[in-house]
Amino acid sequence: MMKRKEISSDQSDVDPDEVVAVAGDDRLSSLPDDLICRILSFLPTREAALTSQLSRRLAELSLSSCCPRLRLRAVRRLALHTLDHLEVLDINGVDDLEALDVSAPKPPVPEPERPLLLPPSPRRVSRPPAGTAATRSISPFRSGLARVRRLDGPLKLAVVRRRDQFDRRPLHHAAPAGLLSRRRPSRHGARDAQPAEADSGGDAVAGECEDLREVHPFPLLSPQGQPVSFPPDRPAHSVTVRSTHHPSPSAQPP
Amino acid sequence: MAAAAAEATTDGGGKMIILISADGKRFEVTEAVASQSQLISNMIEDDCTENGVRLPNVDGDILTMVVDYCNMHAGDAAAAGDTMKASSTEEELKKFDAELVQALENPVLFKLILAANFLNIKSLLDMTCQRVADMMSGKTPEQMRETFSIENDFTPEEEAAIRQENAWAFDD
Repeated sequence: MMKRKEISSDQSDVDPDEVVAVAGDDRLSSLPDDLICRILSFLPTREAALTSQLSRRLAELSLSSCCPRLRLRAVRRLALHTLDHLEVLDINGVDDLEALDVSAPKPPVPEPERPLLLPPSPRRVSRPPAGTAATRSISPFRSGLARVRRLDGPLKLAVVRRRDQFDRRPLHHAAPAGLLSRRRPSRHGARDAQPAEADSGGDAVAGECEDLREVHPFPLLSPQGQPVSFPPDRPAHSVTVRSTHHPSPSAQPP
Repeated sequence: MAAAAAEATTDGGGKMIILISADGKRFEVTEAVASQSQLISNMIEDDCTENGVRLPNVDGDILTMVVDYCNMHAGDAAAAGDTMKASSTEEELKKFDAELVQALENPVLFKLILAANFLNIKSLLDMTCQRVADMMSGKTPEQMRETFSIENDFTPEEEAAIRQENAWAFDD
């Protein structure tokens, strides 16, 4: 099995002193950005967010750049605004998600043959903020543009995109949906306290963030305007949504 | 010398490639083993491995681990020309991986990440990054900082702001 031959080993193994010397170093921060992002992508999103408190560098990386894979547990409301492509949004195991709002620069083209698409809401269509013409909401709860795959029970949302930006304000303080204005005119104040954001364009993304609270209230309506039926054993705010109809892209302005 | 070795073949068939670590250690591996590294695979395609492949940013001890890993995982590729010897079973591989990664301590783990990244061995990179993520998982920010010796360079005001922004992540 082992075909490796050490042809010459004039140098002995690591000097133990050297190991001790580097053990105290901040090896994590010495990694290049993309590797730190990669590591963060293996963490549940909640824990990845916690790393923003470790240092300025990690705050930059975890707050404003890339978590290509989001893994969520115990999140009730989520606003996700992608800058580029998010590969996978995994909300398996989230059973009490009330609201999900995803937007991306280039929403995927709807594929009619996809069997499981969340229905659009005829009541709410988001419009991109000025200057971001390419951006529009692909909230699965509103537009039906996001593709959602049903797995064993919970859902997996595969918006085939990469990098993301999501709203980290305390979500539980959100007032009931529908009572608030559609979009906050300004950026989040807390963001200003952050160190300069990475070159990846996090700044631009922050400007694109819509208020999470604009996510429309349930119950959802099907494209025909009929209330969406949920399995009887699941509450209406569960992310399990039945829809056999493929909606047309709901980019139409209100 | 290196050229001769590069031409040599083994019982498993295939050319041998010589990898040379930063500190001058030399490792002779089959093409199948070496080409798990996308970097080396590209070099093999371009025919520039004849004088050995110098890896100036990979230390010998780290390269030892990488080569062990690649040997272990070359099973699929090698099995084609080596039907008699069953390649490592999946369980063996998993066990090997788990042991390798569990045994890694902080500095070595990060060196291995850098090496896997440089050599472009995706499975090893994923495995080692996952290990770091596991080491972070379940820890408070303070504990993470301690684990990785991360210096807190926030001002108290900044820290409070970030903390507030992340309040949702602290709710259980």
